[in-house]
Amino acid sequence: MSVGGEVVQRDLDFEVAAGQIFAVIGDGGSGRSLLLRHMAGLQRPAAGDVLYDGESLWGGSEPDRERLRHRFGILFQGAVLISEMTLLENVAVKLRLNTALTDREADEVAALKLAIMGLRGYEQRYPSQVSEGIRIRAALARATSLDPDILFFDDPSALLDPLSSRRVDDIILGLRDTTGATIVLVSHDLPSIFALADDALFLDAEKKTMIARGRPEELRDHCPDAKVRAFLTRGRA
Amino acid sequence: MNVAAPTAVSVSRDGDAAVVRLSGTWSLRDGLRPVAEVTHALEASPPPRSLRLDAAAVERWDTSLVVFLARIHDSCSEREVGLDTSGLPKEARQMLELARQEAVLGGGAQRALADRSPRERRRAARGPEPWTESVGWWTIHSFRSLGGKLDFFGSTVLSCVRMLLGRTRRLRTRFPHHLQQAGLETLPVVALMGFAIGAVLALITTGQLEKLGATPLVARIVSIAVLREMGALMVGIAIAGRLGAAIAAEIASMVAYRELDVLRVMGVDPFDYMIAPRVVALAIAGPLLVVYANTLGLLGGLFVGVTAVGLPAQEYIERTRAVLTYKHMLAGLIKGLAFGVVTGLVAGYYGLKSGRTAGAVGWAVRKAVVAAVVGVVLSDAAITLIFKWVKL
Repeated sequence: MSVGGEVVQRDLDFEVAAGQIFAVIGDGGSGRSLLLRHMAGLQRPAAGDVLYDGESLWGGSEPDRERLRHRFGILFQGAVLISEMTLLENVAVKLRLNTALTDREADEVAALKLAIMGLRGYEQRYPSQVSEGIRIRAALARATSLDPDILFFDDPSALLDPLSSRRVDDIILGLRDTTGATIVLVSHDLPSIFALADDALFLDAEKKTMIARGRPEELRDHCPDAKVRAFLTRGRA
Repeated sequence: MNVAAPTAVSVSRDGDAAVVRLSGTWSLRDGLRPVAEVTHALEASPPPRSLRLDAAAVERWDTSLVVFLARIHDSCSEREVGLDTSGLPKEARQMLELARQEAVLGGGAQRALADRSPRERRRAARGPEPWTESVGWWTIHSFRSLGGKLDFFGSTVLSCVRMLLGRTRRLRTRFPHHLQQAGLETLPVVALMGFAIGAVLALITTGQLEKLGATPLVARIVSIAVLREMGALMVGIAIAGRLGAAIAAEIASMVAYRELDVLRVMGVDPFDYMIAPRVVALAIAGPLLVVYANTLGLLGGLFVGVTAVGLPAQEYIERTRAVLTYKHMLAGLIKGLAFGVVTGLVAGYYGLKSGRTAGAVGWAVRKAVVAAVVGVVLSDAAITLIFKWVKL
């Protein structure tokens, strides 16, 4: 993994089990979001590949990659929604373009997705008219609109107050339980990491590689690397 | 190779209950399944008291099944028929419950829903409003908007006065930059347009005056037209388009990135820092640009008069000098000043009024340019009428 020719991470080799919530954690500048972009097929890594059920993401052709991307749902950092579309349209567009549903049916499914996120009555609001927490939930509805197998969440709790952050955590757990999707989560919000992650990977910005792997609680209590323990205890370990 | 079993729905009756059996693979990509057969069963006589869902034979499912279940849920609710979901997969049951929950919102969001405008609340309660009510709302909106414009105008005037009195000196605004942007950087456009306008005027008037045998009057007509009207108007259009867009975009970007809030927190009046320096710069640059445009316009007329009409250069210059009175020149300068101020005010107003969304800057620029061009043309007409009245 590199940015502008400078290596950010190297020698990353790990597997994510289906149906798990997998957290990518690490210190600032360690390339967590970049790793997520490589895994989600948004940016080609400097070297290496990502395999889904044995199928290469970066070794295949662009149409193959596009087909794989249809299995993904992505929540970008800051819950980017198209400002000129209502919340309903933000969710419905993906359905209109990728299924045989009529516009009316796509709107019905989009309204249902928003309702599942607790946003009934907000369909016709524009992103600028709602709070950050509601925007994130609408972005989650969009990410799950096509019932993806794999969900990528880039710092979903950033900028949220603790209660809203907890609500988003509950929604993510609910998504995993109801859809069985595999979730890759980039976060530095410790309560969310401990509440959600079944498994975690720690990226180190100095060593430019992964230095720990395991359940967040185990890493916090038993990881041999002091930096990982310090990270997961806010420097108290 | 496994072939997905087609979606199937069968409805039967078991005493007071209707039983809906679902099977096969449910996928959004295959479309949504209508619920006509289920609603038909609900309208049977005698109607069922409850409806039992049995999804034991469903092989795979996604949101399309939940949409189907939600439609059945709504049909049962309308007819007050009980719905038994115990035969559904646990996850589908959970999703159905979530999909039919009331909005789960934080306190602020709940207030936001309650805090809809009176118009929104009435629309929600009574549907589309009659045209008379629309006219009423438009009138109210116009008055409120007028209040905002007057407030902006007053704040700008006060701020410009503070600036001219030197009370905002410690702010170190970018006034020299704004003056350069409004003046020096606009010179090439104004030069090109000024020369072209003078030349075109000379060509057009020559065509008409030749028929009367009065071609020597070309210099007089071109000079008066350029000095009193065309030079200033052309400068007005140029600054409305070029500087109106630039100023609106700069200020709207500052608003979008919350720099306005930062200025207020620092104790800086945004009008002192953002609006007044730009308006004053345009007020100074406008008349100077008119002088420049008039000079180039006269040269354009001279060029055509000598090369195309065949008038001696000396004669053309003499006839032009004869009409170069302070009255005509002052008229142009006053218009230049007015157009600069109008453009600065309009661009500043729409820049400050823009929102924080991705499209806000574009909106501000579009509104500012259109309003500035219209403002320039209307103020030109108004000033011309006043000049006629005061015999200037």
